Amino acid sequence: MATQAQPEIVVSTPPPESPGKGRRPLALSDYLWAMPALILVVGVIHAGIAANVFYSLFDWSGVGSPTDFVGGANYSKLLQDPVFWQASRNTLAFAVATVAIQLTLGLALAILVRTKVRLRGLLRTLVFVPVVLAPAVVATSFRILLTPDGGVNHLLQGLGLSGFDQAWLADPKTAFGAIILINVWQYTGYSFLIYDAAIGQIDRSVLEAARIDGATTWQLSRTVVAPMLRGSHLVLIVLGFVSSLKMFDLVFLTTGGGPGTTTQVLTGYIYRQVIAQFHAGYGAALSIVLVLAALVFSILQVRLSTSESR
Amino acid sequence: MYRSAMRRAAVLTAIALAAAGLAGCGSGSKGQAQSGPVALTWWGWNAFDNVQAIKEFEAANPQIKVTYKQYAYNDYVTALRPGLSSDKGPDVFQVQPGDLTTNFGPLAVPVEDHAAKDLGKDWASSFNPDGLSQLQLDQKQVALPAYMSAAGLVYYNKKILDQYGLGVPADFDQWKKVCATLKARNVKCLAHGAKDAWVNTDVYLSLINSIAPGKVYDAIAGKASWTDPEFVTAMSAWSELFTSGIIPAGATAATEYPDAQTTFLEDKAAFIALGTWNTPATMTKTGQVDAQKTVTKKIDGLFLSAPFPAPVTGDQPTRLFGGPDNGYAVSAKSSKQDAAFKFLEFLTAGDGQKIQAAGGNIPAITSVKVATTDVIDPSQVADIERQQQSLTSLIGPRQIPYSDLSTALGDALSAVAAGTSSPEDALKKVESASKSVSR
Repeated sequence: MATQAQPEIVVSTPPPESPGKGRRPLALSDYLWAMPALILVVGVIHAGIAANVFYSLFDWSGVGSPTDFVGGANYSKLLQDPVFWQASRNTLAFAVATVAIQLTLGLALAILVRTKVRLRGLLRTLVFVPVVLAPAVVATSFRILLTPDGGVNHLLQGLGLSGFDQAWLADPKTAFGAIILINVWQYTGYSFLIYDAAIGQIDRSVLEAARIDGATTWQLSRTVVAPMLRGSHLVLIVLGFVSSLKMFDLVFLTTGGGPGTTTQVLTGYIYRQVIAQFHAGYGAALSIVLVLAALVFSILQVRLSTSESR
Repeated sequence: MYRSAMRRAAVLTAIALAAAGLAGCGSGSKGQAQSGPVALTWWGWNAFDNVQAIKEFEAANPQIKVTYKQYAYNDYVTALRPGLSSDKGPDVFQVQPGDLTTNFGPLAVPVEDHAAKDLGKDWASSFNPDGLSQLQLDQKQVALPAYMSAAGLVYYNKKILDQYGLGVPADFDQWKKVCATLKARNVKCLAHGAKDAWVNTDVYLSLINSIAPGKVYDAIAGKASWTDPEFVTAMSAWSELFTSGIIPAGATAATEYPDAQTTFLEDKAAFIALGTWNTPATMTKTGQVDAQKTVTKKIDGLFLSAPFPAPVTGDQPTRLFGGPDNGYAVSAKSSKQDAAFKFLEFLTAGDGQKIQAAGGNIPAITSVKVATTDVIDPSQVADIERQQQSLTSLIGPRQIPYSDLSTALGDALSAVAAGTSSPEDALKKVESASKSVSR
């Protein structure tokens, strides 16, 4: 088989460094270019984190200046706080479930639109539209749809499945699962988009070669396409976990963390401690734990993307 | 030359952007001399008929201009923290008994001196005593009440009950029978938003104040245990509301406003457990015009109130519990405190009370009678007058002044409602939270 010349990928590489030659020393103006971004990142985000560390050392209501220094007491308190652990477990379960389902569905849909030509554009649009909807709109709509006399139960009754009627968000057995599925409905389109773009980058000759060798679509997807999308998997997993750590609006607007605290997540618990219970110091300590968790994923993402690019 | 130009551009751009960023963080002009009218800012989350209040106040005090800033409740609590610590915050702000008074009261100017000077030494005697006592902090009056309200009631739609030949239940046994009849007619019984801890707490206080009148206030004060049998009985009755069908399925994911209230106003449920603050929306023509904006179906029910049914047959239903629905305070950071107090006194002791009365709210000034001329049906006059009378003999407050305890009780009620905790286990957690509260 004649090999077809592929367009060369142009990668800009820095010239080889030689000591004392080729690079001018950095001037003050070079640093100034970075100043606007530095002001934003350091002034807002890093200073905010530093302030949280400071406040977490106080028993403070969030009103006036903190005066009651308690050292690490807020951190030892959270270790014995059952709601903190429940919220942490829920956050982790939410991350694992949504990432796993969204990646699987996103990849399946991306392969589908790449193999089925008809209505491909419509399918792409339908899958992606929920991503651009405001979470407040999605949460409010589903809250109405999932009431005992809402649209979902009417649909089930229409299909002759009356026995599956549920107070979906009110029943602790189904509430958390319902929230996960709402998130999957909204954000699968994002995974789909990344996979669709990544599949478009795969060299067609590889796929054709596999086909010539007799690979079925399933085999092609599993043994050729999926491994070649490793970078996309990693990015989606890391971003999925980080956005799960930040999950707040959907839970707050659907169940408010209830019934009881069965659907509480870390951000919701922080909000409750700071706003409803006036424990800004303890809320700051909880926030620092959340920041540390996010930091782990950030480091992971940097390392993985670095190893990918090598 | 090009490099030099680029460098200059970089320097100028960075300086400009940094300056813009810093300007955004800056405090702006400060300490400008006041000329012309004094401008007051008034912050709140649900200041009743604020437009009319400002209109009347400014007409009587043309040298003072008031701007009202409305927040959603949670945003209000968030905004008030920095607001009261800076000179950019409100001059007059809304508070509630309980957490808000406890946490924001220290940032308010005590009213005693101003009130004595402006209203006379005997100023306190004209207020409902509960209206004042629940807005005190460390024996100082940090706010004055806007109007009085109390819970311990159910509002019912008489049109629905009459349609099916049903009466108003006095106890749970009667209520369950009424609910069974309504359910058979596809009408919900008690519309309830159990996602909201505050309304769950109101109902629980109704139950415990019927079973053991007043004992809950001993438990709140740490002088009685939440695991005592009376509390367990009340918590079991709370559970029974859900298991017996008085409260329909799905309530634990519903909010009181707007979910439950909409269901009630649209004739889809016969009862709702709200307090006297619900009277304007359900019994006055003006209030119902506003309520109509929140629902799609035309409101045509006949709404009245009754004591929350007693959980134990033969017991008396609860007496009403409550106090000031909300109140107003003057910020210690305000640079216009004389004008701010003039406005505060207008709202709480002056013509502002007549605005409350005209709207169907029960004034905190006992000599001002709630208006009954605007009722939708003449039968509601006696109901409103009975509410005002009941507010002079409250069994206790609605709010629990310790946020950890009120949160623990809210969690316990939610868990029992959802069936994830037994009444006994839930109350053990409440008792544990109660013990950790520093009173």
